[in-house]
Amino acid sequence: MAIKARSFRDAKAQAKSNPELVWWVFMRLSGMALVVLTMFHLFKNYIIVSELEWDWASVVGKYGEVTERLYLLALLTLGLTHGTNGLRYVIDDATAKNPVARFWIKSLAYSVIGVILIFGILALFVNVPAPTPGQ
Amino acid sequence: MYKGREGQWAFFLHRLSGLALLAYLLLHTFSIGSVMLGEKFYMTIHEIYGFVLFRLGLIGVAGAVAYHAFNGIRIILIDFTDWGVKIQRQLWYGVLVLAVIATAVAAVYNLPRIFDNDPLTMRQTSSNPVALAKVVR
Repeated sequence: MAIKARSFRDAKAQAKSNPELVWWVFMRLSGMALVVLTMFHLFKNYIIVSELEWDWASVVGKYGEVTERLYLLALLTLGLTHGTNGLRYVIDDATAKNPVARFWIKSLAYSVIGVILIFGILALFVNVPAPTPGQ
Repeated sequence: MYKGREGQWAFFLHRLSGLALLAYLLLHTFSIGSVMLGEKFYMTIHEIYGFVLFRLGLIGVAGAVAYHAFNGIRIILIDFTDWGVKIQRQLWYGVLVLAVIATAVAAVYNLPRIFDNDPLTMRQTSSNPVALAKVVR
């Protein structure tokens, strides 16, 4: 069950388990990191250039930079973990009276997100051949 | 459903924007990650996203990012400071103002790209009939 606390001390008192407190802290720390990472990502890839700039060759070129890959890896893993835990809070609240539905909705959600996460990490680290000139 | 005051609207919008952003992140990871499946596969998706409604939708995504980010900072201030609790309502109006400004910035940069016939727009959206009609005219 999500913690609805107004301070770290309250959160500690309300947490039914230690992992729940860890998640409470994680949401705040990852949230602060994501504010910076996401704003910079949007500014660089969406505001100062159009999103249409990112055709296949441009993305392949971008992934050639190791720092870009690590940046996107941080964004992807932090973003999906933060988002999945947020989704867990929502599912817990929405299925408070229906444990069977809770189980199946969570199973489906975590499976889909897990597949996309693996797909995204693979895409960052599989080497795509650069386009050959004249093709 | 929500009969509370600002605090409950802040909570409701935070959840709504969070769910929307998770959904967007999953789609975004698939579409950009498909770069590893080859140029044809990637560009098919890329051209679909060139459709004008999807491009307008991205301004909404930027707005959701801004609201969720600024309200997230508000939540942290409320959690860790006493003054944050006292002025949480005023902070929420600050969050709304900042989110509107950020959305406006995204719109100012992107609306001309979407609706002007700049070379980039023509090249990318010419595959769909609506944009093609606009370009021909």
